[in-house]
Amino acid sequence: MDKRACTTMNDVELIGLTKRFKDTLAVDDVNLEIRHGEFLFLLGPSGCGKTTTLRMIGGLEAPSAGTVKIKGRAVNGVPPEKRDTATVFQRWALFPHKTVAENVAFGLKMKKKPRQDIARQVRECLEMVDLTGLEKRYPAQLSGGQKQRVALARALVVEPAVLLLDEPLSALDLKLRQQMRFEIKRIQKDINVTTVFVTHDQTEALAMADRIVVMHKGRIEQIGSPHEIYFNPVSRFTSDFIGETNFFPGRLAAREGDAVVVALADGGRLRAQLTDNAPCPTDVVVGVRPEQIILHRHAPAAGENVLRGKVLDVTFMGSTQRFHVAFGDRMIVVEDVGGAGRESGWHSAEDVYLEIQPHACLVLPA
Amino acid sequence: MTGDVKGAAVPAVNHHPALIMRVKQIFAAHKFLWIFLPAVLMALIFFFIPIFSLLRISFYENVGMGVYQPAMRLDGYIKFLTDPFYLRVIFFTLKIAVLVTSISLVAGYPVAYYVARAEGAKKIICLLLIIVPLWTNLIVRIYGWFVILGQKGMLNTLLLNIGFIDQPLSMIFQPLSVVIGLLDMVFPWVLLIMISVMEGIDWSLIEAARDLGASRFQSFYEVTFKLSIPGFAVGGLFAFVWSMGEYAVPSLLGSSAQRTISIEVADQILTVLNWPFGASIAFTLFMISVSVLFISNRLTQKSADYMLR
Repeated sequence: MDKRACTTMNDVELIGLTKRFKDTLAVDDVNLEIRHGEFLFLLGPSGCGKTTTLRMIGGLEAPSAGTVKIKGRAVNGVPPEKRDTATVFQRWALFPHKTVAENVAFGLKMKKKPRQDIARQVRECLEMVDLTGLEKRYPAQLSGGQKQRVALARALVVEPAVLLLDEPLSALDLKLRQQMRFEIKRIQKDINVTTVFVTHDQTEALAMADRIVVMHKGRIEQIGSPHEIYFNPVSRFTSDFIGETNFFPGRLAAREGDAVVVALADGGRLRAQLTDNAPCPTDVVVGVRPEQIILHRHAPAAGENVLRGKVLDVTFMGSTQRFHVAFGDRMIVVEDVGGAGRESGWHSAEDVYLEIQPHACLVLPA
Repeated sequence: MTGDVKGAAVPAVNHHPALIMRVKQIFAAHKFLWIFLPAVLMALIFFFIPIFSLLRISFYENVGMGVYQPAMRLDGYIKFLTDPFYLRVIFFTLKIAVLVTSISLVAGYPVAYYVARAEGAKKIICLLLIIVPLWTNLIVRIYGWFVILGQKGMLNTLLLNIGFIDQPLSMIFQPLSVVIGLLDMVFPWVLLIMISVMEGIDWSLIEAARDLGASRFQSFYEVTFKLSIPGFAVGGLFAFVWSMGEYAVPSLLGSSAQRTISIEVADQILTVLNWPFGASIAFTLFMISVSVLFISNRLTQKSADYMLR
């Protein structure tokens, strides 16, 4: 793909984007291209710079260095009202003195659209977010979920090139949050608007994103599809942040083609299947997801990739069972999904064999 | 809150058996109502009873030399509201009150905006600068204005010395000095009221407005200004009612030719000894203030609606 085709396809480009607040580096040299119609997530713990990055795209924060391009045009120094972006704020920032209809109409009124057009577009947008009939209510008379929808409609009505969402679901309860995830995703695909969604909730990102950007300490840690991010994290941070991971520190003992054997610090060896042929450092950690560990009462026939531990406690979780297992000096979390071939009736202080398939072992730099 | 209790306590005075029963029932059912009793008694003894006796006396007939007898006359009201001399007094008082109110709102808004958005030490210093003058006694502050505005006061001396004027200006015992004195009195309170309202504005709303295409000015008008209207209403009401009823400032800093309603009340009761007429004037003043309160309440009803959360 040549360079020109690239720039026309990308709705947003961040080049060396950096933001410094006094002594702290909030965003550190972020480079990112966001494709047209893409649903992109900025994911990371609080203070990782994801919101600041979003605010720099929207023009609410000026970058200390680097460039923001929207539709191929550098917009550094362009005030928010002149940018083709619209934001849904964390606490929604609805105008308390305006009705639902007035809130949604605000952007169009500022753009001096004719009255009939405003009325029609407001109606269509409220229909899209399923709020018809609440036009005359004030924000104080709405539930959290309804406020969320108004904020979404208010941003969408101006037909922005890029929709920016700053943790819009964090103030909702779990049930509503799950429901809104599907609705936002449906609307985003329906109108095919390029969307950047900031969240610290990894399940939200995994469920909704086309692509996830994992951020850590102001830098991009990894970019990839939800599947890639979950199954092939490139760092201990990503692996730990996305889902749950057990870490076994160790040293590289042998390399056999696309597999390696790691001698664990707590005793035992694990064979791991590598996804590529890249060189491997000597000091590593092996990451294993809790649901990838199979528990046995008796030593399994395979003999390889089996560790010995002791059950500390068992928690019934409904569809699964969670185990805390002592292995050497560390505690391993195991999630048993049940099913054929899995043993049951575990109790604490029982000796146990942990079987881990080589493809479930993820070798990461220590 | 007081509505409940007032309704409960006042009819009890009528010795209406059914009502007393009802009141007893209410108090038995809601024991917490007793905690309002001291406040209700205070309001009753120091506010409702005096106002009620004032209203009663205002209809009485004046015999002279401080003596009056029960009657049902509107003489005082008619005289006060039709006589050109008293109409001028009413008009002058209204003019002063409107002037003080407008100046304190217009001048106070930017200051309140600045203090509401300030943070840390800057904010504390600003608030102290507003509050500290209130620690000084009002009469002391009024005499302070004599020192500044008098014929041989600081301001005249300064202007004469720099050659800006060659005759001392008469700045004291003028409507101007009354306005200045009233501003000195109400301005800090108006500021504090407006600051507290503006501190309640969520500044992320401005970002939201800008983000949706509003210019700097539009976002100020649509969000900050419209949301500070309750501050204007309460601050303005406060300034207006206080300026209307203030006695010390106009009587010390004003001229005897331009009298205000409260000076007239004091004069009738203390000097002329015509209690019924003084009471009529006082009650008229009271009613003006109540109607302004009522109107301002109605005007800000909408904001009260959305503020309820």
